[in-house]
Amino acid sequence: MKGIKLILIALAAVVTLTHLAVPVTAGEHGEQGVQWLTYEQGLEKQRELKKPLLLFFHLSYCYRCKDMERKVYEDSKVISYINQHFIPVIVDLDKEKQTAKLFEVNYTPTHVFIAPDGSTALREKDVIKKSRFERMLEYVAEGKYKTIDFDTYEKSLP
Amino acid sequence: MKKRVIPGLIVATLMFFTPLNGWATNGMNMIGTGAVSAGMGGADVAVPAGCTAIAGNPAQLATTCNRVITVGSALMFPDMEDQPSGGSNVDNEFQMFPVPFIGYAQRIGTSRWSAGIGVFAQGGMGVDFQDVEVDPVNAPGFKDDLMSEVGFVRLSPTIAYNVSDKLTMGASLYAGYATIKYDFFPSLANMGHKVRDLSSFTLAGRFGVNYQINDKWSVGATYTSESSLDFDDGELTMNMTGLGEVKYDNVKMDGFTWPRQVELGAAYRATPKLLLAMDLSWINWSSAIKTVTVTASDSDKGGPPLEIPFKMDWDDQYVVAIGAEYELTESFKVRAGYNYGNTPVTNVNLSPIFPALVEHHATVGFTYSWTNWDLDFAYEHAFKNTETNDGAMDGSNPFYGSKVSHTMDTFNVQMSYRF
Repeated sequence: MKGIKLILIALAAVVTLTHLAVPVTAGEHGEQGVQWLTYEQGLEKQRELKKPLLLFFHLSYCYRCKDMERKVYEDSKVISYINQHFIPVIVDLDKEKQTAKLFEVNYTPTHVFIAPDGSTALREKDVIKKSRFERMLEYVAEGKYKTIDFDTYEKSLP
Repeated sequence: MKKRVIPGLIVATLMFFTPLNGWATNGMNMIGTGAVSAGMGGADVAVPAGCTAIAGNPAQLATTCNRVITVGSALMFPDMEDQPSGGSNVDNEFQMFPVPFIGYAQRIGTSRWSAGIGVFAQGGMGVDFQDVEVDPVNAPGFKDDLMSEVGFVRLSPTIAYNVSDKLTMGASLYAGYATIKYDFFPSLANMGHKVRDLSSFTLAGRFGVNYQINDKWSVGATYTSESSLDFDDGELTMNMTGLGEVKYDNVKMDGFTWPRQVELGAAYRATPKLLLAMDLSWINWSSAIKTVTVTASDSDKGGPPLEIPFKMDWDDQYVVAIGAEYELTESFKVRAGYNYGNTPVTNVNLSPIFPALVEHHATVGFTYSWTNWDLDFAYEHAFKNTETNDGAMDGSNPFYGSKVSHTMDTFNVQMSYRF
């Protein structure tokens, strides 16, 4: 009985905690979020706008992909920068196996940046710190990839 | 030849990992396997996990998606006291028990299946009291030893499947290996004895499910089947009047079972940086630990066959585990948890040899991540609990009036690499 009472008390505590906790709202993201496109839509738009593609390879049940979305892709500054300078494309490895095969991706999350000329500007995998991801975005958006590799670029920063 | 070598390797692996545990603290179970679960107070059923899902909710293995290897260990420091009725208090000898874990998991090709394998300590127990007063009232000054060591390790191939984007399921096969040895007042003629080298293999399974309700809530459940342990191949020695030290080779232990268990869990992403989790568990000790009987025959000096019952009659255990994880920085998460499980030991059968007494645990932990590596750490403190044997005052209850205390500190550390 003592154990059952404690379980009930603990349940009540969790319900209370969850009500006290501050919920995540869309407003926290500052705007609607990254305007993800499919790969085909992204290619078409790239031909029109001549911007680099950002491909985010993920799986819907991959918890590290969710970490990456929560920590980085849902940040308002990152959202603004991506929407302004990139054509963002999201690729589900389960549903778009051909695209994953084309880019030889079998690890999630993986981030691939494709320059307007079709070449790979940068490719990184796993959850990336926001500060580093912002440097990656700037590196590609400012065309630095044409002259130096990303490691050299990072080291050159103050 | 191959058929002999593979089981041999499995046996060798299990024996290498068999822990010499102090009390694992939810009865004989660990409160959580791995530093992440331990840091959350054992609340892990609905929380995404890597390799340690092999020992937690196997359905969580499906969310791993890449290749990951985890190596770690817990280091347990139990502290126990025994005060026989009318006698003086005796502290447990200093003991430190390593409890290793190793696991590997990966997604199978480009499918929705993941698989893994791991070796981990399910739990165990152990005490070492020296110079305990055997009968302070009737035989003052006569002192002897009490010692026990139970270790239980499991080799666990696990498979998990993403049924849909929200629903994952998993199953683990548990090939277990357990060992027991103990001393029960070995100098006490015709009653006291030592048992060594009892061991048993066993099979069990765990089935788990997890459902991601939305971005904030997930719920999960597991069912673990009972592991029937038939200990044999042991040795027993007893001092017998007129015969001296008599040794028995054909020693068995019956009535010792690792219990079935049901766990329900929920996790709630309260803010982008804060994760809360809670598990409720039922551990069916009442069907698993009743009267444990040691039988011995085949003595070297013509001693009579022995049948030694230990009446234990454990109660079922209800466990509440609550944990929180907060991301202090992008690379550093901290955790805290609380775990309560009523002691399954009944006071009428309380014994300093098997004192699974602690009920309240507080835990803290952290994860530091860099590139593809994670370093996880957790510290658990099991608060002291003292109970007194209030059973019958007769020969069937040798520890009548004994006051037994139990507390423990455990440090967990593990490293994971994703590739």
